[in-house]
Amino acid sequence: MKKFIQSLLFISIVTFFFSSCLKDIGTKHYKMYTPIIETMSSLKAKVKSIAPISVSNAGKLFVIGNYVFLNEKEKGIHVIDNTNPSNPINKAFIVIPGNTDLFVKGNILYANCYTDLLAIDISNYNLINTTKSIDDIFSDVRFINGYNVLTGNAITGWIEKDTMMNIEIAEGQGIWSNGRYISGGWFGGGFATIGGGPQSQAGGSATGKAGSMSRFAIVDNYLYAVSNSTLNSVDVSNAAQPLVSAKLSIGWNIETIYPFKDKLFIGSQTGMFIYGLTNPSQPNYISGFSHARLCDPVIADDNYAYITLHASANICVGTQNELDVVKISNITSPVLVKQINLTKPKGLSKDGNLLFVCDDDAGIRVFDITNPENPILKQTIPLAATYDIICNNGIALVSAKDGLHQYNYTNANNVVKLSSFVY
Amino acid sequence: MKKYHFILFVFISFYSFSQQKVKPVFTSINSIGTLWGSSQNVFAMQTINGFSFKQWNVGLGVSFDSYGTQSTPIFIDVRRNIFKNKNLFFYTDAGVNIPWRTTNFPKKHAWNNEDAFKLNTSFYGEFGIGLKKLLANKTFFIASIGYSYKHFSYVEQNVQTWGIGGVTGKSDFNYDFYYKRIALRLGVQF
Repeated sequence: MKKFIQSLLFISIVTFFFSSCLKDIGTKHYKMYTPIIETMSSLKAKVKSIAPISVSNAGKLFVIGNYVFLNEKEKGIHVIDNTNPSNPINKAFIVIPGNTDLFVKGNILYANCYTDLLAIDISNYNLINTTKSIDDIFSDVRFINGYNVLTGNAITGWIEKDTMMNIEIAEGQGIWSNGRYISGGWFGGGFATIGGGPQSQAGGSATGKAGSMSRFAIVDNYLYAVSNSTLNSVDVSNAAQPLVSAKLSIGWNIETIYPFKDKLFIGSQTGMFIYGLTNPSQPNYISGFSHARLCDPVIADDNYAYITLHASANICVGTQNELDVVKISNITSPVLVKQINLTKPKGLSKDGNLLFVCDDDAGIRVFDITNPENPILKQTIPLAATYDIICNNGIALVSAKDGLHQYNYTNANNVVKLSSFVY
Repeated sequence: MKKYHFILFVFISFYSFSQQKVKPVFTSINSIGTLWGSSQNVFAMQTINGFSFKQWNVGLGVSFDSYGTQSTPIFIDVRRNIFKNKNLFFYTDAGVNIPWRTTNFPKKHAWNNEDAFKLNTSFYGEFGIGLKKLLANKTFFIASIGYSYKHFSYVEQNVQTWGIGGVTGKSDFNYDFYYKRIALRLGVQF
């Protein structure tokens, strides 16, 4: 027994020495992003036309006459001669830093350059001329990932740095914050961007067609441009000298705009809003259709609106991926009449009884909408990373990540590929 | 990787013992106790089953360890009587710590079904000394005290989406917790 007690004493002494090494340690490793900030004046000074470059990250597209304008995300616009859709020719590249949206009316290209809206004379696309800049019209762009830069500036990139910080472990918890680390702090909300793309309605100078992902639309003499929370009405009766006529706050997370006759169909992450153009300079709210928080463009005709909803991590928190058909014959009371599950639908376009839906990597879905309340899937055209589509006189122009693809759908039962303009 | 060299060493040692024509005897050590650290004091239990030869005992152990986060350490345990005093022994453990996927660490984000938490298997180790007291034929009461180390590592995935310049991506946060505790254990060996 004596030996046992001696041993116990020895152990107690050892324990005393150990006790000084009992500090729990927590660490967190992550990438810290510091913004690169440039002035808008220096960015706009870079706007110019250069020799054609290859497509690397295609965005929205716009069709007018024999030309296709294809956005290169955040970099500028490819000018493509599409006289022969089987053999499109890259003619020039218009450098516009921060550009995501575009619309063309006559010889004037409207394009966003980060926070500003530019009117650019493209009579000669090799020798362009900025005729007007409406500054800070897309002020939302200055608030990005938790940063807020001053007017006249834009965040053009990020410096990435591996970072480590110590986490204090609270007494009685073991892991910070009640047994679970709550993330956040270094980076604000999700990535905010001015999106944008166009849709055209006739009137005045010739305008073309934009895809459903567009944030720009022209109806008669007004350009309507949505930012994250604002519907801007811009008088373009003098195309080269646009003037802001109204800025309407229309809620948050606005994504797309689509004009049809005297209505604007606005897609937001929480629903579709319909605005009337009784007074074109001041669109008026008519009605809305709510859905789960998902990313969605919308197109419409007289009686039905077609909405694609897709989930996107940390941007649109819902999980559904579907095509919704909403009856709008009573414009003040839209009613959902059909839901079709898809993979990850994005841009869509219709022509007659055909509805084309870009379904991301699943390809292009072609629906027969003879009965709009019961679309029938006729064909799925395989194509990776499809984004937006425009149906134009029997030719479907598809923007995918790798470039522009064109299909002839004059025979609805046999959609034929015409060309791929890829990098 | 160095941490795991120790495990290899133990296996080699075990192999060399088996070459000595000493007949090993099966032993089982089962204990309960407490893990006492700077932020918590929690219940723990473990079982070690293996063989003993002469002054040595080598076994494979499994623990329940709720310090910081619930986990199951699986380890090789090596212990030896100190000198010829059969009451006193030292021991050392080395192995892996396998964290439990509790509700705090779901595999997928409920709201978008994207990957949420990736739990990593990390290092676990302990060393200390103890006392043995014969209770009955080949059955011992065991009391030990040691310094216990547990590494808990996980990745919080898809925390934020970021992007500009046409490039987007997801950011992950990597967490590491290094727990250092005093382990007090009471049990029986038979």
